[in-house]
Amino acid sequence: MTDPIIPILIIAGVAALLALRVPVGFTLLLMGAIGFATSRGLDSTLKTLGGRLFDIGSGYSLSAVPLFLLMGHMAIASRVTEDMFGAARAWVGHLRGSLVLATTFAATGFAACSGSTTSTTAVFGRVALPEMLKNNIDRRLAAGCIATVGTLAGMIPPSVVLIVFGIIARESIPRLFIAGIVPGLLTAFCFSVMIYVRVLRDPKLAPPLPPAPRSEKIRSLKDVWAALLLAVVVIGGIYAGIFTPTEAGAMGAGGAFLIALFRGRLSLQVLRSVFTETAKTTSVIFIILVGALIFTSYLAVSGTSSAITEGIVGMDVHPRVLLLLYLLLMLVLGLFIDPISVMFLTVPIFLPPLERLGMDPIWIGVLVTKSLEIGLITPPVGLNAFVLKSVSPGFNFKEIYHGIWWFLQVEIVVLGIIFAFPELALWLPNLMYR
Amino acid sequence: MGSEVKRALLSAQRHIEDILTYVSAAAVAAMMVITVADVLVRYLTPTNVPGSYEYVSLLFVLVIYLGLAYAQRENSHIAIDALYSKLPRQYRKLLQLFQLGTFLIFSATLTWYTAAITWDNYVLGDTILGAISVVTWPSRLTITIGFLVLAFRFLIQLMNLIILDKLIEEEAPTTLVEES
Repeated sequence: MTDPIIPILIIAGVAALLALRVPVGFTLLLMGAIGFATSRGLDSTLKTLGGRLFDIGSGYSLSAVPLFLLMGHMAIASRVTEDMFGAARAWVGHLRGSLVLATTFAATGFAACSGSTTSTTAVFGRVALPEMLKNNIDRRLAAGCIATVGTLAGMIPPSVVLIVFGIIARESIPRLFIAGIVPGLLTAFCFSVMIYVRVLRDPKLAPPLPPAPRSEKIRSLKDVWAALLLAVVVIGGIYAGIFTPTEAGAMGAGGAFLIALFRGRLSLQVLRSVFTETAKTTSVIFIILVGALIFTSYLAVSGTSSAITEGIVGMDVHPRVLLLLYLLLMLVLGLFIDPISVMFLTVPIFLPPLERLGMDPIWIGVLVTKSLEIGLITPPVGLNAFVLKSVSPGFNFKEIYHGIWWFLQVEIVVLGIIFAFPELALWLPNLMYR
Repeated sequence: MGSEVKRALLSAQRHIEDILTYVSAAAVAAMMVITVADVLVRYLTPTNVPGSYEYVSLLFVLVIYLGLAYAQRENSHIAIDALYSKLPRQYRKLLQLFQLGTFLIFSATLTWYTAAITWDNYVLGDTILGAISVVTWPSRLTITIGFLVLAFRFLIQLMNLIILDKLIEEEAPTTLVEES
């Protein structure tokens, strides 16, 4: 174990650089390297680091992330979002909540094809928001719905957030995927109830559309069956053990490619955009992962991780209280720091002691993901609010956050329910390995 | 340095970043094709695609590192704005001088060390052992290239900051070319 003052200075250095807008990945990489250099010497550290950059990057299980990102981007290119929104509009547009409910249902369906929350928000901002405004839906309700329903993609498999959690926590990604299904659907259900009740009390918020004829309803299903089948094959394939997550991602991306191709929605320009966007996003996410793994290796080698674990385990506090404090910390940090970065920074430190205290890491993964979802919609760094503003410049942040407020309350209630009843997250994955 | 030379160098840097991003995009496509082929062959025939696991793993290295400079040019790397955005401009400039200088040195150093490791692995003929053995040096070389091009991007941004007084968030990628 090294001099305890050095890890403290290194951690303080990380906090200072992050606060000063140094990119998260570069910060963790640099400070991890400096930490190692204090005990091993600079030359030895840089040689090891050069090798580790390759070792981390060549992990086969990590390659599931770009493939699921590709699946989502390809699904957007094939315009299944428009089809899903059209189908949901035909089936529930005449109910109280009309297009707001339709958007929630369509986003829930699309979340099974896309693992990216920001992409989902952006695409529904372009597809559903103009339709909602044209049909006199309350602007705040519309904005709140679009900004929030995108977060469903973070919980409903295939979720990139759950894959990244699985990588950091060294937990089974298939189990995490399956664990996300019930909490994701529960969230969508609670959003729908909230929307329905609000519109019941104030019908002007979302005037219902005239009922769609049966022929339109049937036709709308023809447009979405392929995408829904794809989602079932991917998630079912993982559940049944037919595919590894990487294979499922590739099959999903390949399937979305075929859907787009057969519907005549692919061009060279679209393909180029889909693949470059996937490559760019992968690079941005994974340089943080590489930095986080180097930094947490330093924390482990310096004895900092085990000291923190021992300190937390030794506290005379009920484990659930500790977990609650951890989630509160996540929520507070999520107010100021990009949620994915919060996960990279906190999971390696706080998960080991919570696991040692007997808490199920899969359940913690679901709770962490739910906290991240909340971080994505809370000011001042509510990433989804920024994404919505970028695709709909006519909205101001006051309107967006006012609209989000109702959905945020639902998110917190759902977080509380999953916290109180771990079985909601663990029931399906436990069936899987029975 | 003459403005023509500067223009040509900056244009070359930009083109290299674009090309690396396209190579990276092609690698994503290849990962998908190889994996789908492996699954289909495995379920439809008694065999599988030899080396699929190894090639996908090695291609993924390329996807991570070749896009770093492009993301830096686009200011897309994830960073925390909450405090920084409230600072007066002169403080932000000082911070960027420190940040760009530090990471220019760091990425140049990583370029050197990863190049040395790539050379060692080339000489030793290092391979990933699986169904077939695949040499690792081409994949390792992409890490060196990624950090080299990133170092040049930091250098350009540092020059833009010192000579043209342009912060990263204020500059278009070709600012120096257009104004020189």
